[in-house]
Amino acid sequence: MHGRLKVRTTAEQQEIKAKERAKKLAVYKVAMDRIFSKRKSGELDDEILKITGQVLTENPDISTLWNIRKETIVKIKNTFPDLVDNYVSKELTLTEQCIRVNPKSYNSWFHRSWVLDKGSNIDFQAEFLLCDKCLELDERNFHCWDYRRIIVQMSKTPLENELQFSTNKITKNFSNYSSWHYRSELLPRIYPSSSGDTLLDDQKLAEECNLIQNAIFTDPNDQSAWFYQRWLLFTKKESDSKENSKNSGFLSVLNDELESCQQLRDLEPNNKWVILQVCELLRRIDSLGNKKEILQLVSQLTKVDPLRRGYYAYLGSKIEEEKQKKTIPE
Amino acid sequence: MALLMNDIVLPKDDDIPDLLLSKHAHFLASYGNNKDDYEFCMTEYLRMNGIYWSLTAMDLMGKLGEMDRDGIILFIKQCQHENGGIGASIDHDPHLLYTLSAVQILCLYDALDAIDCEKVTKYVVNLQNSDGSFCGDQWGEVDTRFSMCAVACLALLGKLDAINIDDAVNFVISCMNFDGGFGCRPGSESHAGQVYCCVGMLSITGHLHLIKADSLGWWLCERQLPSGGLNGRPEKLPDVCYSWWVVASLRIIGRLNWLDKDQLRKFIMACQDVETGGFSDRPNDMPDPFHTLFGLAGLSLLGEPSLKTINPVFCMPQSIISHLKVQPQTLTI
Amino acid sequence: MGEDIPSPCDLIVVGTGLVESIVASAASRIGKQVVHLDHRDFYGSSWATFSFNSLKNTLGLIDEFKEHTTQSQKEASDLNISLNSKAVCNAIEKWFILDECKTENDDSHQECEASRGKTSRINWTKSELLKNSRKFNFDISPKLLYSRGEMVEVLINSGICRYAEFKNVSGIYTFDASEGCLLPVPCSRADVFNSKDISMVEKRLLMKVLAMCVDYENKPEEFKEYESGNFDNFLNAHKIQGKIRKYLVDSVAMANDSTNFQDAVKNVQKFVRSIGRYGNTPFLWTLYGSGELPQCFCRCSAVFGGVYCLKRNTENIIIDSDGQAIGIVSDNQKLMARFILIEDCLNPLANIKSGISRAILITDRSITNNDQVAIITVPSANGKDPVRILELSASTMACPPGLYVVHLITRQVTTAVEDLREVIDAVFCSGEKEALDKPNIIWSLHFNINEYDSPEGKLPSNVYSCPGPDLFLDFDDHVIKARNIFQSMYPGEDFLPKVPDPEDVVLEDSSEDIVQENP
Repeated sequence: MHGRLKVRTTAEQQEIKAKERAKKLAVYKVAMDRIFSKRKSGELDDEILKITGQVLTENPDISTLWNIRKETIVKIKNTFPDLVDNYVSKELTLTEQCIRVNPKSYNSWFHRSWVLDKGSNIDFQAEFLLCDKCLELDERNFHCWDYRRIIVQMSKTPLENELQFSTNKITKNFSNYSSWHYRSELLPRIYPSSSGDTLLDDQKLAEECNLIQNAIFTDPNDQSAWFYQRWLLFTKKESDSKENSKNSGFLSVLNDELESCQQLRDLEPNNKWVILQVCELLRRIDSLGNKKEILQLVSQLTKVDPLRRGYYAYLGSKIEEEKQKKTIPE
Repeated sequence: MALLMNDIVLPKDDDIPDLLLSKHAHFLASYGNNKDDYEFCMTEYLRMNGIYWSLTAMDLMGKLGEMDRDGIILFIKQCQHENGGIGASIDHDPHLLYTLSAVQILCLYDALDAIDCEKVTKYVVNLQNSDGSFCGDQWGEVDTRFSMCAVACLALLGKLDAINIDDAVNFVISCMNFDGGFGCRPGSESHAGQVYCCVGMLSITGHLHLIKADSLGWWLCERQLPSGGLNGRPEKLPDVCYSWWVVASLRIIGRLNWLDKDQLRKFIMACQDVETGGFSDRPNDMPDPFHTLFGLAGLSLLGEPSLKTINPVFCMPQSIISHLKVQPQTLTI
Repeated sequence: MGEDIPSPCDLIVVGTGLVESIVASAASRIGKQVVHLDHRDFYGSSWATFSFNSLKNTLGLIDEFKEHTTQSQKEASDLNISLNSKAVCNAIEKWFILDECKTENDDSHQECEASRGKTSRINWTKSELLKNSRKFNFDISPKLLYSRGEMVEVLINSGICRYAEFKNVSGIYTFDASEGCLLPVPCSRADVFNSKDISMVEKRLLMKVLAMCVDYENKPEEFKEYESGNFDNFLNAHKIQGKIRKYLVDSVAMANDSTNFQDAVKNVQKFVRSIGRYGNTPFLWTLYGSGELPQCFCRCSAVFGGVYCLKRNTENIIIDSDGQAIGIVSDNQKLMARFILIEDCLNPLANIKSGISRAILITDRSITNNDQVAIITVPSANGKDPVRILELSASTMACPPGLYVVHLITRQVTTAVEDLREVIDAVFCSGEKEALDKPNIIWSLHFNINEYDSPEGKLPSNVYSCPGPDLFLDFDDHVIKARNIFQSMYPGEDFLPKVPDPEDVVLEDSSEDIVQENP
């Protein structure tokens, strides 16, 4: 028998798809009818778990079905507490399957975290492994990051471990907004500042500044680095609403950053992120003294990044207003 | 080592259609006519949301009358549970998301008496936790989306003070991130959808002063890509639904002019499906009621003359909000 | 044996080197009857991979090869095949270890034992190595594959890739003579970000130049002034100096002082685009050696009907009165064909134009930090050709565990020993006293490979001379040459087209469409 190549026409393909879907729909309707009928009769049993599992694997967004499963687990916990762990592990298997099919379903992730709470012997290593795998497929999956934060809390994992995790992630790929975000949450908790001026301990701040500079110089078009650097340099602790304390230490940090940024600007004169950062640094170092240069930069920004000319116009007007050195909010 | 620029290429100006209002109306009115349609059946779990999207979109176009008012009101009645909460469809469990949609629909139809509003209020109040957050339903999922659903719902019912507003506000503020944005829970990454929910919530409760408006405004306007479209967070593709989440947020905090409205409008227009009507997430994809609503809502916020004015907090026609005498806070620069 | 060979056939191929094997498989694939012969008893010609013993035998054989003369069948116009070609020549072997380990008395045995932890050279004796002959796979012409290069694409499209296995090259280095050490070459963005060897400004300059090169076709205006010049000019104009210049010139663009801008940019593009497809570096290495590849193509040809004969001599090409070739005389038998391919070392009209100097070493430790496969470029002091070092660990199946096989390649200037002496002395230890910080050489083999030119227009138009290995690190030029030859013979035909998706194959005999569901 020889095979010949057949090119399926779109009409043919559509017909196949339509038939498949009609089949799926019929199966779905039968299943849903059975599920709701059993629920009404109070039959929260293995069969309802089986059928809801089948439907959810195809369609994890049907929250009512997850609820039915939760009701069933609760019932088992109340009537056969020894069997709970067994059922918990089945829920873990099901949610993992669903997460594979659709890694962005709120319901699957929530159900998994809900179920973890019901079990007595949770294998957190397996949970972290699941997170790792998921993040490898999609580093920005916020469901997965959030789930990771939940299991960190549940397992009482020290935050230092998580900081190391985020460092590993950045080492592999520094263009990951989610990784930098995580760092912004962890660092102030692990290395709080002793003085009132900055958010982080001085040495840690210097290290982070160096790290982020590497990112910025390697790819000045990577946004996440700029957002993060802004936060590192310009965030003041809430309590300090007075004038910039004469922290010459921090002023020198800003000046160093300015020098570095200007170096980058020489290499990338039309990069809006660089120009904006130079602008913001000049403002905070001496907004009055640097006013002329800042306004020139603002005008350049408007040319280089016309989509945001509204924002730059606002910046310009604020700078015009700053008649004396005062604390720049935000 | 390629630059990571996630964006689409917009069609040429000549290929971008004008606003195809009657096509969109036809698309929405006939959506769900075929009760055996696969997509329609498979989205039963969000039916209440779907109806809200379609009706609001139709109302923006002045065509609410083409929808089945009586049928829908009856449907909503059948979806309210004993505890006051409303489900997505008949037999589906109650949840804040669908409770809000139901209330919104009944406001559109001026038919709030079709359900037991006191029970709805109780339902919402019972979902507030001690830290001020809200669960979506009895099973305990916490998300700032639910904070928004709760306060929006109660504001429409005129019962905002039934909950602990201070705690609710504190919880939302605890979700503020390094970039001024907001996520689902404390520690979650900023996302335009969550930003809208938090900004909306703070607007309804009159606490917008707690937002870092300049930082957040900048983060929001940076959602705009060269194609003119908006994404939900850095390095993501543009999607027409962010024409709502981002634009509404900027409008509420008084910084809408930080976007390039013309480019955005072009993008939204390019997302229309010229054959079937409706909007898709980006040009040439499949249209659906969700993106149709947010495409139209976005256009309305940008001042589209052929559409009704939309309220940026509730995503409902301003006329309805005014009629209810609800006045959420906004900022001006 | 002779009775099995079809005559006439469509294409006779003499020599089983890479280029001619690729063409053979492409021709078989489109249904041509191919007869593929080689006078040797192994596949691959100057591309082959050998075990320890067969390497020694083969090199020995070539030196002793006798010239065949043709007898009655030769016409005056026929072309003699240069059967005594010595494409691979000047082989010199050297051992650096003893035949046997001195284990007569306990003291020296204990010494042996005690030293085991320090170097592994002491663990091996000559006879032990030879006993493990089959665990060695030595390439005559080792080459890499760009992950997004011509060879990989051809292998994937044709499905031939399933006949071989590949490993990602794990480290790319350049050698800094002034500091006497290896510099790891950053390949990916992450490498550049993490590098502690270069400054921030250097990082930006490096990334910028790479991005410019990758974007070359989209921004022709930016390059107008450099297009006709050489790569050096371009680098100078963009202030690329020091380490990043080394990275770019030595390892990414694989250029020297005279490389022209266009060629260098093409290499940079290939390099950058290949990163990340299968691993952090742009290159793949063939498990068991590069000699696997000509064999894979031959296998593909055989699957589609090609007829194979090793140990089959070809004496001459028969030319007719119009100057066209009509066949060959092989082992005194006439075989007729429409087209004939010969490997260039057998082409009587070809001249040796240049040469490659090679060395193969067996060493006891890695030059680098235990990469599985590492490429090290040692730029020459005077802007001429660099020396490329390819280090293979046991996981590539090049040798038994604990040892390394190192290949050195450079352009032939005098002899392989002379051409490679400086580099070998700098990087390895070949002395009696073992070094603890350098790999020690256990065995070495030096040789040369001739490169031939095929003068245009001298061969009959239906006879093609297929080039042998060149200096380049990869296979792409050879794939291109093979494709060109194929397209010249069979214009308009698909060159190793994609294998059809099984789902799209509908069986001819079935009366019902496979699509219909069972009732």
